[in-house]
Amino acid sequence: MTEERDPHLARLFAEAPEPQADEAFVDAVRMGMARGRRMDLAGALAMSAAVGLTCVALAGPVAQAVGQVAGQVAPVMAELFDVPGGEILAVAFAGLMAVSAMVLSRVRV
Amino acid sequence: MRPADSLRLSNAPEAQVIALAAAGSDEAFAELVRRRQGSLRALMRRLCGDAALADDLAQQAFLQAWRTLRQLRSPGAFGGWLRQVAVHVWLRHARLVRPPLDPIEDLDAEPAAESPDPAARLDLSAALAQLKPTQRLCIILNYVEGLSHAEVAASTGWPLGAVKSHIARGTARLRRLLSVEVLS
Repeated sequence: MTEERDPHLARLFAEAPEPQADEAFVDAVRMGMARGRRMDLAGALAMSAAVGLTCVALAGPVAQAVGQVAGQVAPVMAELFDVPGGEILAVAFAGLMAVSAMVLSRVRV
Repeated sequence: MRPADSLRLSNAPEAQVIALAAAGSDEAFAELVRRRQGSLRALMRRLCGDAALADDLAQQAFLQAWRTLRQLRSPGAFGGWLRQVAVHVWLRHARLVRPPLDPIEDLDAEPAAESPDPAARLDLSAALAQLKPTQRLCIILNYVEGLSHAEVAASTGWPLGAVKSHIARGTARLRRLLSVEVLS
């Protein structure tokens, strides 16, 4: 099958008029763009609100988990400070406990 | 935007306007709409045969282009890219109003023969409206937009063989509908 175009049809198509440039059409597209921006903004606000509410909902259980772990860790750390070089061990222990608290809070939530 | 800026934009090379639009300038995009609306609305009018619907679809195509302009790799490809966006908008619309739009299935189902009455001669837009949507799209992209068969296949995502058949059958049908007298 060749790619030759029927010359008569091609001429008819070439003679068909194009719509005139229309500023009202441009304005309609502009309004659509403005509406799109408003919807994007509304979507972003809704997303931020959802993230904020999630954080608030999570803050309680996380704080509770951290408090529980701290309550268990504090006496151990106090005893570590009493032995020579125990400060380093205490800091390492505190770091370990912080990570544990984070993991624990995720598990509980 | 000040009138002087607007005037500068209207005289700016298209590549520069596209770059500004891609960077987020709504005024630059409006200038692109101003420049390209004639060809895009004409394409949609030929595809739909309904001026109001065509303008609505052309607006949708411009808005989709506005949202995805950052995906355009080269400003020189803007015209072809915009046409492809428009074709996809029209295909989506055609699927909604006339499901299913199947380029392979449509090859088998030829419409009933048109009236042999020579008095029932049609003008071009009326004749186009009588083609199957798949044939109409292929014919318009080939004849009006000047795309090769392979480019039509790439634009529509249809197999090359199906595109060739649609163009051949659509051309034959248009010739019959428009009658030999008009064509010669």
